[in-house]
Amino acid sequence: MPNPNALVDGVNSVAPLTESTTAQSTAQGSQYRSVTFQSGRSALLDLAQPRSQVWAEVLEDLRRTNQPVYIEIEPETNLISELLLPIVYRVGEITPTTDGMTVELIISHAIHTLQRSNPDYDELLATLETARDQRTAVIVTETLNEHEIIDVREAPAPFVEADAAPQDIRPEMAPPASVVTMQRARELFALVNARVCCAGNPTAPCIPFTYPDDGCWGRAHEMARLMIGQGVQPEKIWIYGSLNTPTHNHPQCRVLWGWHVAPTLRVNIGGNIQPYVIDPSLFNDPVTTTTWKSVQGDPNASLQPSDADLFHRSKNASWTETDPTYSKTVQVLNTYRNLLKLRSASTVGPPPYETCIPRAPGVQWYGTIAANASHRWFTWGWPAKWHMLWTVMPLTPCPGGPQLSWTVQVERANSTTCTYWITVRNLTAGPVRFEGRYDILSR
Amino acid sequence: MRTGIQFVGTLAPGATHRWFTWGWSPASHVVWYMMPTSPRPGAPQIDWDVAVERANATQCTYWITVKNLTNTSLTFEGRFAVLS
Repeated sequence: MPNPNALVDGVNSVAPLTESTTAQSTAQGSQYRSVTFQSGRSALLDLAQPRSQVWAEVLEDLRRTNQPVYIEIEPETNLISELLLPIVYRVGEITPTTDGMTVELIISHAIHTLQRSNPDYDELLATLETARDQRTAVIVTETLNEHEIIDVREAPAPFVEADAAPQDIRPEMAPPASVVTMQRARELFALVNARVCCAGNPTAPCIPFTYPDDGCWGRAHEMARLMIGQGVQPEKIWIYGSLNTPTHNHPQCRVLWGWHVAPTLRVNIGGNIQPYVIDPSLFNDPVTTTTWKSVQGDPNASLQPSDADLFHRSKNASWTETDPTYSKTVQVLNTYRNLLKLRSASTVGPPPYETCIPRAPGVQWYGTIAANASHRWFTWGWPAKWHMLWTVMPLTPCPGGPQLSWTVQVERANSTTCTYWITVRNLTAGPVRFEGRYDILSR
Repeated sequence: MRTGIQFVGTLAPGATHRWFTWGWSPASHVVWYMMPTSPRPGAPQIDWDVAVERANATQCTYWITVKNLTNTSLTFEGRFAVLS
């Protein structure tokens, strides 16, 4: 039986609490936001919780875009204790594993699991199997980092996708692919990479490259749109396999995919024309398709090139979709921007994750600092006779303005050692992970 | 260590202005400091602070805010040192 305290619903309003809707003291009313749902139910957000401001923003975005939300409510207080993003999918293959099932959800390139340890395993599996067999849509909610399915429901209107049938309305003749120099390919890479979302505060039209788990088809289509806007016609490359790709941008330092896609450019190097992949979620420069494939952990994976107008392509091309108006692209990007935002506000914080990064010489510590906050760190036992400098460097990309400033103070602990006190200030509206660095100028 | 002059700025009396310089490698440890070019003995002339932005995985931008502490126009060098 589904969690009785869980709700999958549309959002009607997110408003400051004006009257008591629970046993909570109204004297603290300004601390809460009241959230009402399309079913008529309401719940409270406690703004004293740091994550609640982000949850309120996500709820407001879901209300604006008429997307459902999954919440868990504490029955005693009516407070929202969990917020996740359910997504409407079709169900593909369901494959047994040692501890449950892997479930192919369409459209998604992530590996989704249903764990036998889930108390609702049988019921969730039955719902998924029914949706697969009857080709109906379901609303699936999964955990933020492990992609473990925790809730499955039939998708009622208005959340059902308008047309769940395969379609292919591509023009018969796609525009010919452009041939560019490597310098132009790098310029276009920089163009799309400059759209990277600030992880803690991702806002349209940024591209959530630092949420590598899912959504690659939306990122690829948006990158293609940007290149076409520059007068360059790209293509796309699709990879299918049991992909296991290392990344700094997932708390587990890797992502598991069933497929992946990115745009390509035909690059002329000394008269030799070959495709280079533009994929800022994996690389810092254009790379050959061989290099692109080599980091995805499956030597037996298959590559399939296509025109850029293909929005989604199943492994055997039995299911293809286009998005000539980019309306689906906008929705996909919005979904994964919200997931990036939720992850950054969760206990794991914003990407990248320090456990995934080899510590460079001269890095004393890693820190994460909340939006618009200041925090002070101290480090002791340094020889007082050393001449030292302290600096900070954000790890979380957020182009467009300064992110961090810092000041340094020093304490003479005894005749030979000192303690440095470093205050770091986050100048942005989202959390930032950074490294605290030192340099010893003389000893 | 490598040192250099990245920019030359001028500030009106008492004015504060922010400069930014982009495309620096985040892997490098860089410090920024200012040096007035016009002598004016007796008191400090210039104050500054530095903030930093991670533009992407391989580039960062430094934002340097400089304040003229004097009642006359001030010209200064924006200097840097790459420590590692």
